[in-house]
Amino acid sequence: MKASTISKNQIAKEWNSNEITLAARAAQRHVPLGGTFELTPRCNLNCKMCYVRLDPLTMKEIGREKNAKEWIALAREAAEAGTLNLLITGGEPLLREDFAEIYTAICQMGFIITLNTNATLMNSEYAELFKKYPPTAVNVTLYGASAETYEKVCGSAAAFYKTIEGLEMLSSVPTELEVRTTFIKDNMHELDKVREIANKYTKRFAINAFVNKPIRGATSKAENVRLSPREIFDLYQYNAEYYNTLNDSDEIALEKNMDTDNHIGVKENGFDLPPKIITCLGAKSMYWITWDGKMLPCGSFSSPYTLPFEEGFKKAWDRLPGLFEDIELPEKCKNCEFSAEKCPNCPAILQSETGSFENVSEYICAIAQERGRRKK
Amino acid sequence: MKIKEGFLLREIADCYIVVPVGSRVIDFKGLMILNHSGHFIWNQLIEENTYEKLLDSILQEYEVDEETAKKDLDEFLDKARESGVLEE
Repeated sequence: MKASTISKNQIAKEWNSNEITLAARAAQRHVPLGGTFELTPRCNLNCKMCYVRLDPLTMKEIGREKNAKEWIALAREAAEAGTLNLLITGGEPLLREDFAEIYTAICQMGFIITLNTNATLMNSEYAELFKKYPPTAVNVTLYGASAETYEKVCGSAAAFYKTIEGLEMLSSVPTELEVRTTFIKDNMHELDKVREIANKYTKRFAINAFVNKPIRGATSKAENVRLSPREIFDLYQYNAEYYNTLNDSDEIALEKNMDTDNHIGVKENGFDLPPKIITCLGAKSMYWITWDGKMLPCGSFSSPYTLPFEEGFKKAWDRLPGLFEDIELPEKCKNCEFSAEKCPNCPAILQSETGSFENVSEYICAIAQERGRRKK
Repeated sequence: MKIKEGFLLREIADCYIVVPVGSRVIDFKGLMILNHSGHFIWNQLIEENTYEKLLDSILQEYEVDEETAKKDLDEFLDKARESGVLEE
């Protein structure tokens, strides 16, 4: 690990310490502070649990990837409207032939940029580009500690070695590197080894075991391979025990728990704003723009959406919260004993699990029950 | 002294936030969020300026005594140096 290059980039740390204050101010003023550009649904890997990947043929049936000129113009509008934090993701964004063109342009606009990548497509050109214009942070997904596991999870044994090569290249870029692993039945046995590999490159290692069904036309096998509620919490507990035995305060346990993280401190920090059904910052100070140009409160939603490329960014952003005003959670969820503290009552997760906002998801209920049982 | 090229002052949610552009991300040493007087000083430093002239312009702009103006200016300059945005 090249610690010196990591410490060169202090913005991420500074940003973290100011984020809540700024996010609250932005939400109260309905400023789109944080955005995501999902540049493509295509990916060179084919992970069993992916919620978003489309093969090129299906992609063409659903819509058209916005081109570089369109993304760059939209980024200008987003900056004008107040976006500071911009996440570039996919699919695999480095798969786009015009990635460098888009990236170079948006780096001149005053965003704090985070890049999500599987790192397998890193090459000397990208390394040079990122050394010249470093993203503030790069999140690399690592799906296993062996070629065999990569074959099982991502459909490619060679991708394991490519990921390691990519991590090597990224470790020479002055950026805040984070390694992230989603755990399913096929890779859960490798947690210790995956963490060990991650820690060669960064102290920031994030685990996620909350896997939702594919959305927006994607067709992965997430339901067959995701962990049971019991396995999920066992895995988190096991990981926490590792960190509890450490005396190294620099090594951080990052638990990317989508269904609760975004809901922490909603009322305390002044995010308790309309639309009430959304209990995080989505549509309040955050947005997600899909590869085919739909604006959503976050990437877990499928609809309703606005169309920023057609109607303009600002108008699309201003219209977004109103689309969720009349949507209500199922009665069972509203009155559930696990709501708020043990279940986030997240409409996006309900939609991805059941296809609508009106149905209750047995899987999500089982997770809430398991969390409730363990918190007792 | 002046602000180096490659930094933008953005007004977002009624805050003034200094952000690096392009390769300036490499040597920017921290997020700068400015208050109104910080914003004023920043604008005076877009072109080459001196400590004395800066102090004068603060005294003309704000109804403060010299001691308070110096304190504000010194705080700004310390933070600007720390963040690596100042060219001297």
